[in-house]
Amino acid sequence: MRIIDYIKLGGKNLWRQKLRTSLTVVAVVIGAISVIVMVSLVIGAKSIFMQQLEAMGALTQVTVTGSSEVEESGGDGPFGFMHGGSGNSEGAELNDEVVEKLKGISHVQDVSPATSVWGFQSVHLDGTDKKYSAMLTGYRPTPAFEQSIIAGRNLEPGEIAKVVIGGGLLDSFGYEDNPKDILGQKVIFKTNKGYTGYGVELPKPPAGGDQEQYWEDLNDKTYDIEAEIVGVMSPGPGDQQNFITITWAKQILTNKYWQGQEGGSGNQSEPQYELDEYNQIEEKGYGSIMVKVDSTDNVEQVATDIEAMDLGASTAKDFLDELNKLLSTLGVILGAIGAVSLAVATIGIVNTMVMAIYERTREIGVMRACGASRGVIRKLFTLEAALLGLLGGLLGVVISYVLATIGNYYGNQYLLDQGMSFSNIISLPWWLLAGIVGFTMLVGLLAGLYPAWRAARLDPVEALRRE
Amino acid sequence: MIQLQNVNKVYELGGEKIYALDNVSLEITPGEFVAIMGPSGSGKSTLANVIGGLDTPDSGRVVVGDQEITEIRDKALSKYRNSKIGFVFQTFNLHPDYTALENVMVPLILVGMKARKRKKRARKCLRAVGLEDRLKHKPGQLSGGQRQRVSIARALANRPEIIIADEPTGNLDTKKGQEIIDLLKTLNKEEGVNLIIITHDAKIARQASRVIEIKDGRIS
Ligand SMILES: Nc1ncnc2c1ncn2[C@@H]1O[C@H](COP(=O)(O)OP(=O)(O)OP(=O)(O)O)[C@@H](O)[C@H]1O
Ligand SMILES: [Mg+2]
Repeated sequence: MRIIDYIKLGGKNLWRQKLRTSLTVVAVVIGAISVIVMVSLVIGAKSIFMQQLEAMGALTQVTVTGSSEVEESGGDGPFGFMHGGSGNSEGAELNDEVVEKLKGISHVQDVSPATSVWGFQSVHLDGTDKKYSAMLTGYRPTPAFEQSIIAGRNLEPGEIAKVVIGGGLLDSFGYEDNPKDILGQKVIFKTNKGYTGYGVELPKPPAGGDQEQYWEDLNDKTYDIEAEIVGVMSPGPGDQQNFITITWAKQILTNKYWQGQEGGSGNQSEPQYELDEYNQIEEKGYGSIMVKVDSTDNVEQVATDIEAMDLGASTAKDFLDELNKLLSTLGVILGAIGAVSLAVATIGIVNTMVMAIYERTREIGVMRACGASRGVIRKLFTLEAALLGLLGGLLGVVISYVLATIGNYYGNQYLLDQGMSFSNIISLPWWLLAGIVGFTMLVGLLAGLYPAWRAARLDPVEALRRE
Repeated sequence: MIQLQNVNKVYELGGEKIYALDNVSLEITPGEFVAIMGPSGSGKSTLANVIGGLDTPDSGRVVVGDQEITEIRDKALSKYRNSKIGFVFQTFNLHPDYTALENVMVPLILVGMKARKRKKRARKCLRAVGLEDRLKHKPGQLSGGQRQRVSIARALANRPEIIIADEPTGNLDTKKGQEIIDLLKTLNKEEGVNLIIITHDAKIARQASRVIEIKDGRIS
């Protein structure tokens, strides 16, 4: 018997039992759709993460820390590798010399020092009085370290008193629906007590007078530091971060004090004072250094080179590995849930085929009498079951595709309204669709094996005698 | 040449042995028209099915032409049924959803004939039984006699050497029954097919060149 005739005959037999065939196929369709939905959710989630990380430039970035023991990204949340931590007590000092050395590594596009800016206790929008806390990071805003922005612009190197805020503050200030309107407004950072950095005119200690009172006042004083909002970053996992230039960060982190001079012109009661500065970055180095690599393929190599310099280097790889592991597990779990409905569909196929054989016993007998071997009967029924699976798979794929297209249309609309730029949350790669069709067909085939075996085993004489 | 040597077929029901075929030996020469007669349950159908390769005996040899069909396996036996045997049943055994043409094509599909060729062949067989104007009719749209003609056309499809008809007139009135017998006799005469007809009708048996009487699985 020719293959084409098997297919034609099998199709015809299924067509003859339209209702039963469609019910069985519907079960397979549901199974196929649930597997597709589950798997594509995981794929979609992953691609959103990747798009985000890519947009943040995280995939081509190496974060250098002083110690060669890689610091776990601590307080900054899962995306801590983006930013230098404040504590860089051990290991090599991250100074400009190191920055220059890092620039010399091949595949390195650009290098920017980064440092967390502490010393501020709160931030509020000028003209309002609700105060928030905010993380502030200074970096060198060269083109390689451009942030993705939804309103305004990136910082220019060397800019003072300008800030690019993240989605966290944007929400807090109540501008999440109209980020453009916040541009040009001022935020006010309230300093900790005893702050003596940028923006402070430090009064000279009183000559001979109440020294105690002077120091007490100084230690108690807070300042308001103004900054203009020039840009808003795209929402994403780094939402809590806000950025200023490293230049300004250095000024903020420079403490001033009056240094008493020994000796002098002899008058004991009138000591000489001189304004001195203590620049924390110059003394202790940067919190971290961000290294931009020309392509993701070279990130590992650059990290290795950096570690060879006895510096710590962390990349998004560890995080991505974690993420992949998590998503794979999730995929397996969700896939299994989908598979349950496919298993139910399989039982449906077995049931349909067993019933078909019962009803078609006489037909099987006639075919045997006309010269069909057991093998022919077995193949025919197996094929019919496989066709049921294939049909269900194909329909499931088509329906999933339509649903995904509709879902993505509305999803993109929604995200666009949110000012986000991901496209196509539901992703249906061709291999998933082809895989599902192949899988449902295989499932159908397997489901058909037992009924087909039973059909082939029928005694033709008894089959013909059956009424 | 069809040869049976000491063929046995025994059924056991509740400890009691029923001899469907009891040490049957017989020979049928090519082109012979044989009628098998006997009471109900005597083993007529079993004998015919064993010759047709549809049933297998418990012991004994069945040789048809140059093939010992009691020795060959399912695949070869199926091929034997397909190419050498044409079955005609009392209840026609046509597929109710197939047209006359499609019913006749079943053995042709099984042999692997291409669609165009088998359509031509099926049409020719239906013409031979006088049904060229009923090609697209389904069994439900045909009379009993016409249905039996379709099943004869199906039996003819692969130009068999042997036609085995198990009470082919059992569901037909005498006149229509005789027409069917006449048709089979024509095939026997003109094509030289071996004709084995099981019947209860002495009038039909009389037309055969030989009558094999069977009782309790034994031929006399
Ligand atoms: N599967 C079976 N199990 C038990 N006994 C069987 C079976 N098949 C046939 N028989 C017995 O074998 C004997 C011969 O059966 P067979 O069908 O050959 O009779 P028959 O001569 O064709 O009868 P009829 O004229 O009624 O068709 C019968 O007695 C029957 O009961
Ligand atoms: Mg009988």
